[in-house]
Amino acid sequence: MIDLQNVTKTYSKNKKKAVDNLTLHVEGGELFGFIGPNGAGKTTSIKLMTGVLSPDEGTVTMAGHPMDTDRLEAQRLIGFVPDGNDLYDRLTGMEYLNFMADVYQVDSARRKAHIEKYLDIFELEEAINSQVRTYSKGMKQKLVVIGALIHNPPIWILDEPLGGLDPRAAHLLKEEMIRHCKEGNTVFFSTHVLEVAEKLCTRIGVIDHGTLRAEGTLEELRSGEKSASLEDLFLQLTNDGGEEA
Amino acid sequence: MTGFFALLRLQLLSRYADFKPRNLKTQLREKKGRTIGMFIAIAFLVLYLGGMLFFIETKMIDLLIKMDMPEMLITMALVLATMGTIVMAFFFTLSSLYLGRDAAYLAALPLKPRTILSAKLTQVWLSETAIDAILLLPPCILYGVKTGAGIGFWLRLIPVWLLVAILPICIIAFLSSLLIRISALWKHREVLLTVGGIVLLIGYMFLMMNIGGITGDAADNGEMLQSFVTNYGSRIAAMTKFFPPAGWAANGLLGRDYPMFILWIVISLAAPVITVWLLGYSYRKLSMMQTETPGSSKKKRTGKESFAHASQLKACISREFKSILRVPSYATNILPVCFMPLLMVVMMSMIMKNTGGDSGKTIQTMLGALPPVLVMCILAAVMGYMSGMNPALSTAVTREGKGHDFLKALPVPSMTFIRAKFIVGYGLGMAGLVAAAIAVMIILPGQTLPTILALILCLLFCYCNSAMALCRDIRKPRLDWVTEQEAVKQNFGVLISMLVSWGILIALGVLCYFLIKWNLGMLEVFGIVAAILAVLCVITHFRLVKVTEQYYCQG
Repeated sequence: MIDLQNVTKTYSKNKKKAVDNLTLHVEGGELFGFIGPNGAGKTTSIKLMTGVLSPDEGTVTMAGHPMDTDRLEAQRLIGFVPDGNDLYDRLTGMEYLNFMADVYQVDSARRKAHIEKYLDIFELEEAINSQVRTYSKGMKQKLVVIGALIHNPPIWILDEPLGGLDPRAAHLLKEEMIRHCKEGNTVFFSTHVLEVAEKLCTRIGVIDHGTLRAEGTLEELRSGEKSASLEDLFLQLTNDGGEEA
Repeated sequence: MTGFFALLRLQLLSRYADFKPRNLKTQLREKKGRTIGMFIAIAFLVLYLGGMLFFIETKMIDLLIKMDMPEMLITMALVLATMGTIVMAFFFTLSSLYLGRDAAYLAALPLKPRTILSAKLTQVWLSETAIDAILLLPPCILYGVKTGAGIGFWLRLIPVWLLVAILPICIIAFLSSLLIRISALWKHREVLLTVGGIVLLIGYMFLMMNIGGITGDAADNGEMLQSFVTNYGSRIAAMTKFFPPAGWAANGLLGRDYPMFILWIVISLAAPVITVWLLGYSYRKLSMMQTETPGSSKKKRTGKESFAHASQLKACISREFKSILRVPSYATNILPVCFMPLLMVVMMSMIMKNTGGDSGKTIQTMLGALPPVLVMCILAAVMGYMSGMNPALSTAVTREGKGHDFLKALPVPSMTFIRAKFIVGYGLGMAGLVAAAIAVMIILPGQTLPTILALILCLLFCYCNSAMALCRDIRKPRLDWVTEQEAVKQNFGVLISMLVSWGILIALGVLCYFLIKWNLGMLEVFGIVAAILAVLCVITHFRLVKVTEQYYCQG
């Protein structure tokens, strides 16, 4: 479903490789956790996957659609939750969701079903006709998640999706992510909460300084050290670099 | 007092950070072209506007001295400075006191609400006093030099300059608090701010045109000056009656009425103390109100109509338009494009009718005496000049801010986004031009054909302008803004687009001058200019498509 081949991205400002020769493959039915220190290249990798940025080298393919030549079709298959949610503060929640539904060309009946389902799940019905700027951080995050899932995309790409969510909403989102994967779809998400990655993911990737340091199931990452926690592994894999990149 | 000075310093540093020598050096190192360009543009604007103002004031003072009424310049300068502060400082004060994003942050600091309020009002006063140095000091200095004023005048000028902004700022502070209190009760509070802002803008324009019209006439003709003194002297007097402190300051500066001058100084010094004392009670509560969800007892549940389906283009247009309408900073800066040309036409006709009434010259008879080709060119120039100031397009991508990356992740062709932006921006400009043309046709019934032809030329001109402005913003958007005011107001692209559009207008004006000189008729001149503009439209359109593909689509 998600395929990155030798992807490199350098920001022209500081000439530093934010992502360096990244090769990654995530199959359908997988729940992939992407972890790494601050400035490791997680958000840049996600921007490359979603077509926000074009790689300097390498290719990004979504369910067989190359991002460079078939960007729109590839993007149609993605539900993207960006990091930070200062989006369209002056629209009401419903206007925002309708905008997303129009963009993904979701017909009235389907959008009604999806919106009502997720509004109910995330308990956002009361606030949906208020302007987004009046929402709390968690409410904004819930809205962005609903918007990303409104067209029932086969690939979910979520950048820090649980940040700001209350425990109940976080639990519900995790349940949704598991359910989505069980239906044969793909969920790719970045997180700083190692416990979440440990409990939830079928596979985990550790990125540092733009390079994929390790990738595999938790057992594969442990490589024999059965008692090692993901936190131990993470610290071991990333302790040779600086903190902020 | 430590808290007051620390907060004042913080406010000033954050507002004028770009002008700190160290930051300027960094900017010069990182964005050399942009920084130098910005300074050239600022210098050009200061020289152009300042020079124009100084020229008018020099001519005026000479003529007023001949009329034995030089003090009129002082009265006018003080009235303008006072009214200018009331209108211009309104949004600044409102956003600084109540709409800033630092309300919660400051409320959590161990500072008294009155300390915060004092520091914010002092910041507004310092900024307005700097503006008054440009508006008030030159005419006063001209008056002093030309009339050989004594040392007393120069000494009195210092407190007048320093205190002239205080009373208007205090009035604004009370009005802002009232507005915030009322708007907090209403769900669509931003509508109140937008409508209030636009009403203020129209009022200010009307005032400026009333006085601006006078100065233009006065500069050219002694007879007109006579008319100005008799007709508008009474208006200035009416304004000083409406706001007596301006009159007290003027009379005091001219050494006429010392008791009232001293009273004015005492009031100006006492007003901020009273303002801070009175508003301090509720300041914290009011400033925090804006961060809260507006009260609404009956929330509208999702209805059937909420799920209507629309095309991608329609969705983008709707989003674009709503974001302009709902952000007061965007609405007050962009929406005037729709009504400003109409307003200018109506106001100009009213003012010319009033001034011409005495000498038997009306705008109809004046334009009726001109050849139609000239009428068409004048109308096209006036309407084209106004349509050149369209920030809807020169900030179209910039306004996306942090959402820019998110939009790019959506499966929407880049051209659809740009088309939506263009339709909204050009549509607003077009609406303004069509409304102005209809107004001209009503005011000048005999000039229908020249007006229609002028409108067609303006629509073509507006298309080129719009495409060029959008191209510039696609290439160099400023996405790192924090407040919407920064996106639409403190934007170099708006200035560049405006200057480019006026440059084209001047070039077309020169061309028309020669065409008219070669005795070409209205239709011939129209045909040639329209053909040139049509070619420009095609070129700018293809340029827009290319720039979109090259810059908007790329990561």
